[in-house]
Amino acid sequence: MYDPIYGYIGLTAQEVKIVDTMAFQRLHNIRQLGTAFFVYPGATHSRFSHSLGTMFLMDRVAQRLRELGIINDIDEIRRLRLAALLHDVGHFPFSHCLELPIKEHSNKKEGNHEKLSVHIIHKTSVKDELDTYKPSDISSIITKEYVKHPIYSLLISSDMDVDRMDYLMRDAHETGVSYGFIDVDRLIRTLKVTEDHLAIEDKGRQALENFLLARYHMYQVIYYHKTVVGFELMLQRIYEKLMEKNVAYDFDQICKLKEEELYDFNDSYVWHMLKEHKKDRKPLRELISRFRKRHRLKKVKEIQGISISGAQKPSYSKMSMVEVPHQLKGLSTESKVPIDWIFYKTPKPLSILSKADDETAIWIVKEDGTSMPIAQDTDSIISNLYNSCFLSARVYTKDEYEEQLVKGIKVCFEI
Amino acid sequence: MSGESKFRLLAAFKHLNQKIDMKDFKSRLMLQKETYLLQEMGLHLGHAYGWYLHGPYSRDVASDGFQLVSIQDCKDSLIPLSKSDKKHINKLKELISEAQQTFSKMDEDYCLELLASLHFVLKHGYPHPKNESSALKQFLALKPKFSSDAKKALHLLKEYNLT
Repeated sequence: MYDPIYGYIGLTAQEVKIVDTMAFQRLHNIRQLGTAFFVYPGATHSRFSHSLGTMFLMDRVAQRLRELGIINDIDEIRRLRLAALLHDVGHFPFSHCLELPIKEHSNKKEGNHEKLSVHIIHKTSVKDELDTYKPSDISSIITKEYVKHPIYSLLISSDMDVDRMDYLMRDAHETGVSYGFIDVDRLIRTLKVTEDHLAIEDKGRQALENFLLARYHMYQVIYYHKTVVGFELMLQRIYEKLMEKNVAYDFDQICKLKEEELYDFNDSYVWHMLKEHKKDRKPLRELISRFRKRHRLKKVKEIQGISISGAQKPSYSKMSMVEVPHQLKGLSTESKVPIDWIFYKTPKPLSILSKADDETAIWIVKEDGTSMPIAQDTDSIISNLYNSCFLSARVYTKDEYEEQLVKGIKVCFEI
Repeated sequence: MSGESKFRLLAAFKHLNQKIDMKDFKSRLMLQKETYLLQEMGLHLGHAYGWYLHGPYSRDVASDGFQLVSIQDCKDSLIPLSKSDKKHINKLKELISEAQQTFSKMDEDYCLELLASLHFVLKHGYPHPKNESSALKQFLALKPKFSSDAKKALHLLKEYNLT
């Protein structure tokens, strides 16, 4: 297949069969960046192309690990390729946007796209195409339960995993936001493993620093963009209400769908739901109307900044309290803004990289053979940014409630 | 983690008489393993754990931990725990206390890493061990430093219905 980022991506006969399953073809109709197209019209690329791209990079990384003697078995490389290819096969419509409401509504709060990916690998025609591999041979790598070597988990999820490498570049390419472009060739060529940690040789340091900063900037400019987040929050509320009415699939129902029905559980399904329920009672009718017409929410309060000295933290801490259920109710009462029209987002603090001894931290191997987490390498600019992280807490509502909600926040949270 | 899950975790640690502390590796490890065991005991927080260098680890717990540190002293940051939540948390307290009295080392981080890692290998690890004996063998191949206490840990996990 021809890919706009990497050129030709080769697939084995088995991989072609998997890609041709309905379960995988579904990914053509799931946008990688959810609601970001409202701000970046080019953001229409799909989970399909991202999955292929991740597989391509996983192969390159696995070949490098083979050169280093970490992986000795061709079979392991094939399994890693398949895991990368299928790692997102269970994504919900609009990608991460619907993850939260579906998860919160699910039994034991365990319903997420990873669990659906496992379900698809074990229960759909994907299983038949895995041939000599057991479904668990592949799904256990995706879920990071493959205990043979911690490196497998790091390749799937760490400060430098293949998923992240692909999505940064792909999202940059499609949105036109250039901060996501990274030197992936250099990263892979200088990749090493030291004391079971993923590491980069010293000569690859700039590529690694650039990669870490790229992620940081892309989050600020795209993934945490105030308007993108506003539409995400709106769609989450809509889907919550549709699940409460039992007209939209919850996680249990999704898992019971036959493969052909699952194929239709994509972005079009959600658009169809919005059309079907556009005349429902308020507030659902109004929420749907706003979403369809790109009538954005008003951001009424924002605490945002880089926390270095901790100066931002007190206000951020107070703002975060809006997530406490009884605090939210209190705010609604005080401001007289209906709870359905209070939206908030306090994403996890975004640090440049994991704490030095964190499991997923990247190490650097110096020329003299010594190694350390890059956060401790005083030659690296990253070590100077180690303690800083990007904090963001936002509250949104519709325009006519702005003044009363701002007053309510002042009274309830003293900010 | 959703708002409610985050604050339930905060409330759980308050019930354990512990502050969430992310200052050093030991305290971060303890947060990871305690949260893992709380989930396995029945406190549903929705965190996905994977196998990493020091056993079960969740990136979400790591990043939420930093957020929780900044809000745990805010007034009204706690939400009430249900009776069954408190039961699970009390059970964890007892398990840790018994582990400290049973294992060769009393250090809480040692006990937690051993219990959580062995549990993960038994319940979630792949390839799945065929029986307890092969599970122990597999576990010790991954974590030889626990060789003197692995059998005792297995016994404890069984006693607390975690196998």
